[in-house]
Amino acid sequence: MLTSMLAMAAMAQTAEAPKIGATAPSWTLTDTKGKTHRLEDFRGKYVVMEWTNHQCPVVVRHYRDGDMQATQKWATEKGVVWVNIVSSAAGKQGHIDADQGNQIMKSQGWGATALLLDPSGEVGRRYGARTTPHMFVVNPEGKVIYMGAIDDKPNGPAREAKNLVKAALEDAWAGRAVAVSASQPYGCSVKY
Amino acid sequence: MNGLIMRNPKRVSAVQYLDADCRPLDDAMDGPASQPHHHDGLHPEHYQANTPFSAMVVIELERGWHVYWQNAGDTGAPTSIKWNLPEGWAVSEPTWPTPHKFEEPGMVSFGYEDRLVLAYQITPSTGSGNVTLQAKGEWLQCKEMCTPGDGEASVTMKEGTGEPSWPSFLQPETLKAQFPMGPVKTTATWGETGPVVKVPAHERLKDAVLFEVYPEQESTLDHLRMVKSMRQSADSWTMTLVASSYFAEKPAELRLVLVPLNREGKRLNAGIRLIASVE
Repeated sequence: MLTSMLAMAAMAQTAEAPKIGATAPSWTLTDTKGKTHRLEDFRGKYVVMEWTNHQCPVVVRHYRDGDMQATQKWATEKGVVWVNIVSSAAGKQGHIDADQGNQIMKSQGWGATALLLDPSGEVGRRYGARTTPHMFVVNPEGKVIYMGAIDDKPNGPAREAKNLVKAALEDAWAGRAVAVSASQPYGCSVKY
Repeated sequence: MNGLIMRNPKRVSAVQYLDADCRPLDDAMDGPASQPHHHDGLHPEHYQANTPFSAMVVIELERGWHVYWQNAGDTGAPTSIKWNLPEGWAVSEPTWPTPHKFEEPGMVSFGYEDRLVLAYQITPSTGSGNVTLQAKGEWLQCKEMCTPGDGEASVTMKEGTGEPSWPSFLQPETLKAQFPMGPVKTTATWGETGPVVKVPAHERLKDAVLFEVYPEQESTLDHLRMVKSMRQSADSWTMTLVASSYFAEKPAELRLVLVPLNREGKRLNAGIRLIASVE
């Protein structure tokens, strides 16, 4: 039984799993303000997806040190759409409702465009989102140009790390091939 | 043999990252209550100038909690140790015990439950006299949920000779059973799905029916669907592996730990380290 469940989970991941250079899997999700967003609505802009869980200590470190908010602000000021996605199931660590989400965004000074709720985990599984944080960057044509870790120092501190999302965006803006287009994400498992 | 043991306190502080801005975390922690750092009462050990000796860093966890290998796998974060040594002293990269798998639906990670013993070789310089060695560790520890862990341990050493005092779990025979042998050098080609690795005959592999495979490098193999096929020919094997979807560049060499399993899927021993140059 467990084996078949694992096999199904694995198949679900491979069916539409994002690939570098391929069109990012589509999604329609509602944010904590009640607004519905579709990935396709953001064509023409760079989109960063950040899977998050405010109770995961790895996420906590990035927000405590302020580096995640700083990266969000840096990106959105340059016209990037930055969406955070919470795929924690009800009753699991990191699960939040809209009000809790708004409170967290405000108290931590997020610079993200929107916080999207995915309590069924459907979009998270479609993307093969494994960890919090787990990052995906999509270009204006809707193609995946980066997926993986936020930076190259799993144990931090972020100030000593190379931020791989920033690096991917800077490469893309400069017309260069993205030097590091994929890296193994690190963090707590997504609590599906 | 000279020896140095550094033991981290049982259960280190889990509240390092939990300040007033992160109150919800306190409620989320289902782990055991944190305790302040403390050092074991280590008595002075001895060293001889320019004579390398073994050193261990031990991270002890509450029962059922795990920390991560150098490649954490699909989730987690690698355990990290930084040494503060006297000037002129050198420390090797850590030797890791054979890891275990921790599975969640659709994800697998690699690490150690209850306790991790990392082995190092330290080379003293001349004329150091009495010295203090310090190791600082940072890790992510998980049991359903995760908390950050950190700790430090230090020991004073005297120049001279003396017998180290190893606790039973650090006796060489006990350690040998937990660490992979090797490294064994081999070759690999790059096939349709990923690397095709030749596994030479080795005393630790002789009764293997199957293997567990652990890639030391991140972003190399698909951790969940790592092995496409294994073919045995006499006493050697050919393994066709599956590259990670996070794979970016064909590595010059592939570093793996192979663990032999019997028909029941039980480990026969701690296996070997394999370093395959990729053709």
